[in-house]
Amino acid sequence: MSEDDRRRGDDARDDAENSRADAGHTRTDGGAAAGSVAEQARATVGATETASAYSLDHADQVLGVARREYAVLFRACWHYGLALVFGAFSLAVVGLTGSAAGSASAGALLFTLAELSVYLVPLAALALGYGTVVGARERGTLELLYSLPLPREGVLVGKFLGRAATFAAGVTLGLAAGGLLVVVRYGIGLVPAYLHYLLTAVAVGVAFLSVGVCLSVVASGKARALGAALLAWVWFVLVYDLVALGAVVAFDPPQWALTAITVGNPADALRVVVLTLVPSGTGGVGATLAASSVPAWALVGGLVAWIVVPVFVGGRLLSARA
Amino acid sequence: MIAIEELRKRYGDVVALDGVSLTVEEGESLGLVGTNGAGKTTLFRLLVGHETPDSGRVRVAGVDPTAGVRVRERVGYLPESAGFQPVLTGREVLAFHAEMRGGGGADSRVDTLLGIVGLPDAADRPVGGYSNGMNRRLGLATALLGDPDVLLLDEPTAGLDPGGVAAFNRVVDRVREERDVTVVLSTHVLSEVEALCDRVAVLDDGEFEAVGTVDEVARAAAETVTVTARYADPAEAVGRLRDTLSVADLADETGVDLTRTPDGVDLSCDRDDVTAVLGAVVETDPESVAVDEPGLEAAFREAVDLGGEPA
Repeated sequence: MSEDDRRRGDDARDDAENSRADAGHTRTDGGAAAGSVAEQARATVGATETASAYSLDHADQVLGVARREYAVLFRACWHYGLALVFGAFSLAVVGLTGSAAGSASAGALLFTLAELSVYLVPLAALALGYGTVVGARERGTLELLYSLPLPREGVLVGKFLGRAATFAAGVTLGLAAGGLLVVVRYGIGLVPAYLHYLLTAVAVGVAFLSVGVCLSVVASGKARALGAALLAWVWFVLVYDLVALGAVVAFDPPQWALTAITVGNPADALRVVVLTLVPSGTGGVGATLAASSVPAWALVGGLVAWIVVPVFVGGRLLSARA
Repeated sequence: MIAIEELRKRYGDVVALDGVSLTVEEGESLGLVGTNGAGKTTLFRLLVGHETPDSGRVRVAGVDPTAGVRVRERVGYLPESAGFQPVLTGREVLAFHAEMRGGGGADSRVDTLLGIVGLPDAADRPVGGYSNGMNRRLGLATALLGDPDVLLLDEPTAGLDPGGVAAFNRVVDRVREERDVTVVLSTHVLSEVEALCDRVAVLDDGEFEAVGTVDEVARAAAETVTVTARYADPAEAVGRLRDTLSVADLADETGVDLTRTPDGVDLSCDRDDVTAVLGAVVETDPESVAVDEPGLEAAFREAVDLGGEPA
């Protein structure tokens, strides 16, 4: 948006607000004709403000909410907790894979990391996300946030961004510990693939975080949100692959259907990315999907959609409740 | 400053507000009283744009609360259930709200408000260690950060001990003196309304049962006034009072109810007969006379049809 456009928008908004304030005052005094003026002004300002609600006008405020969320979670030790869990996980996998197999291939290591991450990453992300709204509502902090001149969607996006940054920082720190051990054991040749795995794990986690945030908007209480998050984990991590595998075996679906199956579950994106990097002979739906050459754009687009859509839906739901 | 016309809000089968109308002038303070579930919080949520009315019109500072977030630039709102992140300090909470509301001088605004609400010494302590009263005063500070035209306080002293209530009310009083702010305050503590508010509105089952100055509402509900007279010889005084009252010009033909007490006589009479009764009492040479008018609590009990004597 150019400076002129922004200035014109501000002028229009100021004019509309002034006319609305005047109309409201006249109406209060009982002027019969003021109703139409007030309606007109309200319509004008309503349209202007609806448009501005999604503009960059609130970007600073959204980032302010995100910074606060990040600071609160930092003091609540979420960063350390996530780093500890993923650090222990990655060190254990790298260490045990090396010792068990002796000359275990780098591919087998990455495959093991990806397979186990499919369980751990969504669980951690959903655990971080399910209390985002409903927890704040029960604590009474949400009502105060709503009293600020910021649309509810902005509050939600800010909280999501803060939590996504927390998740990314904690998981990156934890998996970096395993990465150091990878360098020690396998040299720097495996680093690009490990980084690819790490970034995909973070992206998949943020997608599940988005799902958790959406569930947090929908749920009426924190216990229900937790239940919904656990159900989501069971569906995406356990049930979905069984259904997908059955469909693949039974119907021998075309390429587009395989692509749809893959992007239909962010957890599968992690499997497919790693398996694409390091093909292995292991079976399973991930291997099948990887072998089917799901296009990279579909994987990236799918992950982006899984990150954006749940938060967007949550924001719309919050707004509709007002 | 606030104008409400025929406002209706329903949640399923429950009517929260049933066509209420009200105006609050600039700089005025209005006490909103009513039983639990009367519709007070719903009214606040409509004023700040957290809810949309089913019908009717609302204007706060000339702004329609349902049209965007601009009303929240003009309004400071302290919700009944307001809470804070326990790991943040009071100063950090206020700094965040100052940042959200924009404008320069955030640090000095925060320091000023910490002083006004009496939390300068606790400013750098985590809010999780604050008392209930400190939390409410911090909430008031967040509501004041945007230098609002309208201050909406939803049961701000609920759950506070008498000392906490007094401290909070002193802050509100100071804010009213120092800033030209319109205040709407809901509470169950009627003495708070009498102390802080210019006018009072009694809300019951989604309707205003009484609106006016505190005196107007109290007087309108107080049909019966008690005159207490002290005598050296109460037994003798009763006889003299009966004689005097028998020729008094009383509006209420049911007369005056006399009750002898150990040191005098209580006379309950219609409000319109107070002058005549006082005249009769003075003729009987009492040692002292006092008039006891039922206050806002009696008016509230009558308005919401509670009946009986206060506990």
